[in-house]
Amino acid sequence: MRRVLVVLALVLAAAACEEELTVPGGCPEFCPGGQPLLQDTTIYAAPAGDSTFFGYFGWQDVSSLLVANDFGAGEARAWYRFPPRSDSVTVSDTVRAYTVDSVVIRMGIVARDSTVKGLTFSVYQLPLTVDTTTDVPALDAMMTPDALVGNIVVPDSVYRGSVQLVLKDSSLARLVIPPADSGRLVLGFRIGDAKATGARLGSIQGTTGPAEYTTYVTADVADTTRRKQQLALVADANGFAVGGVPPADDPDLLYIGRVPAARSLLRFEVPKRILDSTSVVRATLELTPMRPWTGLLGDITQLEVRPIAVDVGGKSTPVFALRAVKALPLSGSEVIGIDVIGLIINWRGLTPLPQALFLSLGPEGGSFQQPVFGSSRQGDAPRLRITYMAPSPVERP
Amino acid sequence: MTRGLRIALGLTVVLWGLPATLAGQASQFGVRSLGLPLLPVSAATQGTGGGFALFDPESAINPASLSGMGRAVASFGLRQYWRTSENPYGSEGGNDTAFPLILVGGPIGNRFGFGVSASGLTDRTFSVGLADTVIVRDAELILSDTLISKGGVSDIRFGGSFDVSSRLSVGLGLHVMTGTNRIEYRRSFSDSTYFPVQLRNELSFAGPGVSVGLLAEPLSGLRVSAMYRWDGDLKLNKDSTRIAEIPMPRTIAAGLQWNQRRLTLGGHVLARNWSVQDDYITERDGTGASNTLEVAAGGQLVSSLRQPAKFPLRFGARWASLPYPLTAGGDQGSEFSVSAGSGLLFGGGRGIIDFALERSWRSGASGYTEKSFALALGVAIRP
Repeated sequence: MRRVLVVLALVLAAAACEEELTVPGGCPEFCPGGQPLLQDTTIYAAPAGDSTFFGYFGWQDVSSLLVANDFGAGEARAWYRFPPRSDSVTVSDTVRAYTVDSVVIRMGIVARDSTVKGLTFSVYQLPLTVDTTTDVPALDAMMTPDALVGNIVVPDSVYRGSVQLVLKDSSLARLVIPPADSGRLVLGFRIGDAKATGARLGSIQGTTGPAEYTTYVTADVADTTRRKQQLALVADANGFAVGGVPPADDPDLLYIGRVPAARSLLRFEVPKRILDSTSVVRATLELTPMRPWTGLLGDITQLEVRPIAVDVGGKSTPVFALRAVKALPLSGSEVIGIDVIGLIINWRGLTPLPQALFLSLGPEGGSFQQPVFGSSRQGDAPRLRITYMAPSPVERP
Repeated sequence: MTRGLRIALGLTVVLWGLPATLAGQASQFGVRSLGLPLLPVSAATQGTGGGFALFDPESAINPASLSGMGRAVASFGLRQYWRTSENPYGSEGGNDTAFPLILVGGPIGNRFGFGVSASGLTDRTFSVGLADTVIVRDAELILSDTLISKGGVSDIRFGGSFDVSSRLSVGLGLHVMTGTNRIEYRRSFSDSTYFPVQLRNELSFAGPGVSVGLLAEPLSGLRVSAMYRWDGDLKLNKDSTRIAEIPMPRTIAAGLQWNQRRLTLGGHVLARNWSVQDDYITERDGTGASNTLEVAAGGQLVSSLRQPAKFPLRFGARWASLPYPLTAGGDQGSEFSVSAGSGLLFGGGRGIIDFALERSWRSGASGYTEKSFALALGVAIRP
């Protein structure tokens, strides 16, 4: 009898360890109460609830500088300003005069079109008067053959990183800092050889860093082992100018990107019956471009959407932990859709976030694409396309 | 009060504290409405195909059968199912465990019997995998749904019997219909830009019921029984909010049992007018409900007249129609099962283990079938 009990216990224990209940099925037989339906609705931005605010990123904050030539995104020229180069060097605690042996100008490429072969950057010595208000025509007027310092030939295998221009012997004569400039230098950069392309260059705030130039000198010192010295300088100001792009001056359109950077705040009024009483399975923010844009092949520019913690207009604090991103297409003017369900699910519950989204560009400042979208005032309002599932009626036998 | 009765009452208190829902049997035929009706019988009666259900004091159908409880007893049952379900969408095997019946009872004095039981009344345990393709946003989207339901309506019975004479007993049962039904709906999409959905709902049931029964022995060796049960409307609550009241069927049954020394044969016919729910269900786009009939017959051959619970041979068969068709206007489903079982004693005769093996076939509309094996185990302790 004991053996029978043991066997029975083992059989039941083994069988009971895992339940497998699922059988294949289909509707309507196995859908008591019906199959929950998916429904799709479009919610437009609240009238006058979508606005653009400028000034979030200034010239001093841009992560890269643009240079472009005969490019769909416009013309762009970049410049770096360097701190004063000393007219003497200190060797063995004594200030000594020097003679310049060579100069190396280095700058970093953040992004370029990898399909362009034989890319060169032309480097010009510009007047100290150049600043962020200097536009492309003015810069072009300064970039004369006489001001040309040299050309940096970018090896075809280099897509990003440091490239340099070496000046020595006769080429040194191209870089002469007038005494009146007190050793200060401004270098301007543009695409050389009239190639139709663009590139992004390193900046002070960017991870690649700005341009630098190093002067290798021979000091006037008797000790021959200490004659060779160098003066390394890193740009302490930079900027770029973009031409051929309409200004962001239409209050009925929504802008993002540019310098100073623009962000757009979009407010919605999604009914509570959708947010709280259904299961939202997809939410797509759709934006209608008002102008075509062009980007740089291989260079990704992202559309970033964030919810806000409190709605105080342009100074609303985005919720930095939450964001939806979408890489902008290289060019085009098709409607842009970006899935934002991870954001709008925070619009429901006991402590919902405001029904608003902050739209920005990444990188913010220093992007070729400069999207312009329609607004509720203009007739192509931003919209949320929400797909939701009504509660299942299966709960009632 | 005898020691046995004190223990039985103590066990009653324990039983009252048990979860209201008793795990039941999973079946594709339990998808509709309240699910699959259950027969709250002991493992011993299961071995007879349910044929002794109206006479078995350890089954919870006929309160008059409590008169047969010669001493206090606490029993519980366990069933393990292995099933294969087939329908037009595919075929799948599965298994699950059920706890169909817990009962505590015993005699009070010479003429009264008492018993409290918790059992399943209907079972809505199932899991269905559904696949569909819909057009959303002008594109095809494949949906993968899983509908999981666990639980059902449970029945707690406070029963009592009175021996009018040595040949006639009557019984009264007061029932509380209770239990919960946990429903989970999962949906995932072929397009990962759609968020998967997981919905959970929990329904609770509540309703009253009364049953009466009689057990008579008009001739020596021949016993007859009958029972009638009335149930009030079943109230459905969702998060303490009343969402529905469903009329419940009346139950009427009659049985016959014949005993000749070592051999006992018995059977019953049981009917329920589930069609009282038809309007309620069809108004909610359900498939309706039909009256059901159940016929069971079986026997027991004991090897020892002195200890009949020791290695008896039980056998039987049962046929029942099912109340809820899978499709509107579709065929009423039915189930047929054959059983065999036995039992053994332990603990000096104070404990009994009964076991039964049951083979069942269910069928509904064309193409919907289910086969299952069930191993039933019942343990009864008689202090």
